Amino acid sequence: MPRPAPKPPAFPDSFPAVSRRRFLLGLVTAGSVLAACGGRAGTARTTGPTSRALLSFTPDEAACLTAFAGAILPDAPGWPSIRETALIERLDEELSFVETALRDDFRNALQVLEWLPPLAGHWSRLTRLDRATQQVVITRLMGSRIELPRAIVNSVRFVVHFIYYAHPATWERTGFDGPFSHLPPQPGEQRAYYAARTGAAL
Amino acid sequence: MTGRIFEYRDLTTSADVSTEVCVIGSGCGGATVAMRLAEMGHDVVILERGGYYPTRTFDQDELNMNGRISDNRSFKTASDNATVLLSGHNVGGASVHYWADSYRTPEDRLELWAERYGITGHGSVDLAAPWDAITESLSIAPAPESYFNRMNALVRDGSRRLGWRGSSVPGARRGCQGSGHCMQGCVYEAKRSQLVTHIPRALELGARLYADVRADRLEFRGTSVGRLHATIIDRRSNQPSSVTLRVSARRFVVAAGGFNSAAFLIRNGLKTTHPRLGERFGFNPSPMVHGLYDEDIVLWRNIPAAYGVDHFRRPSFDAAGRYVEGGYLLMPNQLQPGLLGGSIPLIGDAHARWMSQLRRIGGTIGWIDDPADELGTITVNSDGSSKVNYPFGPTTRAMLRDLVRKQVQLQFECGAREALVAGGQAITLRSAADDHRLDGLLVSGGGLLMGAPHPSGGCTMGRSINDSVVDSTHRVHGLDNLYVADSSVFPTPVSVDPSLTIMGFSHLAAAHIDSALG
Repeated sequence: MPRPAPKPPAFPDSFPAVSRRRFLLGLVTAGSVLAACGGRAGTARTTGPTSRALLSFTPDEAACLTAFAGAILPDAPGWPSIRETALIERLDEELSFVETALRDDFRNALQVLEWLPPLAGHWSRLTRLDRATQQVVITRLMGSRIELPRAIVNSVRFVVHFIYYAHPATWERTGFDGPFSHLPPQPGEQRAYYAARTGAAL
Repeated sequence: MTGRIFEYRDLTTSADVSTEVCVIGSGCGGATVAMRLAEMGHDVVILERGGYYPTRTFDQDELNMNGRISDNRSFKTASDNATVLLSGHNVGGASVHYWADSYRTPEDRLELWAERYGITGHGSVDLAAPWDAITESLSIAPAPESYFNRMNALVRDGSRRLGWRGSSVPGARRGCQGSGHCMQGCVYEAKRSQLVTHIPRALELGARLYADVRADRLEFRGTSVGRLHATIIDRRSNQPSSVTLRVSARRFVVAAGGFNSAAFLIRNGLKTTHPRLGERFGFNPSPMVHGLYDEDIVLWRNIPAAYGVDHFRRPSFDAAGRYVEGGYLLMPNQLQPGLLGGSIPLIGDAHARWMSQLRRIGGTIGWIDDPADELGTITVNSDGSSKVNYPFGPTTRAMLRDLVRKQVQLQFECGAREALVAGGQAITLRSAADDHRLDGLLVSGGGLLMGAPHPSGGCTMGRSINDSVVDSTHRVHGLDNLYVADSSVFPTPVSVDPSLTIMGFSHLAAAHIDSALG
């Protein structure tokens, strides 16, 4: 028996998402309040390590990401730096084109990351720890038995390493012989769009 | 008569489009059903949310291509915030970045779907002719010896020594150059994606394809869909423009892929009338193990998986029903340096130690056949975006842990001197005897770093509206002219790579739609 045509729903069935987001937002709000008490604003226009404008990240988020990347990436001679690989800028670019909710989740993850060290036994913000301690904290959180912080740290780490090692500046150290046919790069219209808005080089 | 591809730069004013059949999505499901309907003489319009990227625009750059052909740049995760959802966002869908493994659906799975879920007309006899046609059009054949890179040869030889059954993987390739860039799109058109096979065939027969078009709202007239309202996406910004399309058709086919079809129907209000919509969702979570070898492996060249171990495809349980082992396929892995770097779960000097030996890193991967009683759901967030809710139930976890153990065992049999489980705990082993270190292995939320390459379910096929979303003709229950033709109709995952099953089902769907059109 055919049924009447369905009507669009008044409310979506998104309770699980709200619960997770409420947890994240709770942490972020608490963090923002503490940051405001500490006198740090989070809405100024952001620039990356290359001094180019960023579109996705606040200054605090960029600082946390830079500190995190600095802790997990190699710093021995011969490895390119965060600046040389334009890592922060490239991640900003990639995030500019994903779903808004996804971009917001990643940014929230960075804000949460800044306040996670107490879960690993260090009572400070991530950006205020020295590199060795940051590494201890990050390693502990990567294997944490608490799922949400474990997911956050592993997800951010994955993305940072992905972008870093995809950059040609790392290939001599790794021994990667480059794309098979060494074709000229074709950045495409989205990269051109982002470059026009930020002054990025293609 | 030839058709045409329209892109965002061509669609500058709102317009009305009329056709016989409107297909939403251009991946394995949508491209195949569109092609078959065009072959049957019907006028077909294909709508694709992503962009049209001809092969001449492929540059083999890992990040550039990820941005073009991977939905949400591979950033989107399931509800555990860590399992990466892998799908396409381009004409040709996921077939442009897939590995082209092309297994026919195992007989036991087709029998299960018929007996337990009431699917009719989709048995191996019904699929035989479609599969033969697809095998020819996609040049499907077992991987020859020349396609075996070092990791594939090691996996073949090592698994045989362990007594594990396997075989050359049937792949959709012709004239492969061994570039290793399957996941970046094949610039040589050797990998037979929908972009270079069924899409051109459909266009030759007059089909029209509209890229950069997001299907939004179905306009119902009683129990029929009268029109589809769609929005043109400005590809440059990836934001919706003010330009719209209104498509009128006699039949509408939803083929937006396993991650998107159910969400599209939910956004159009069908959850209130179709309670099973969004349910029975699986995605073959895929854990990896990396190995460090004393010889060059060069994981990133030649084809990804020339050899596959299917010895453990079917899970085994003891007399009390407790899980013992199995329920997965196991294969060599293939990663370019960016993804490989991302999947090494170490930091600082420890990570650099592995990456400085990139040529000596080997890898394996497997994907579990999600247990049928532990499947997840697709829901829609308040902003309209889709959400994958996956429970990682007890048998699922046990399967994933067993798959990791088998990969570790295999890596050492292959000659690895060190094995590293790709997961947040970064468990490192130096012999197979160390596998007690895998006790207590965390699974979800980054415990294992996994991709989810094969979505299924959400718009399952079955007997009635009480237990499914579509009937065995692919028609949505209770509606006259709305169909689904992609992996979202599968009541369980396929237990092998699903592309050939998707295309075979789309052949059958096209036949039913043709019959309905009269």
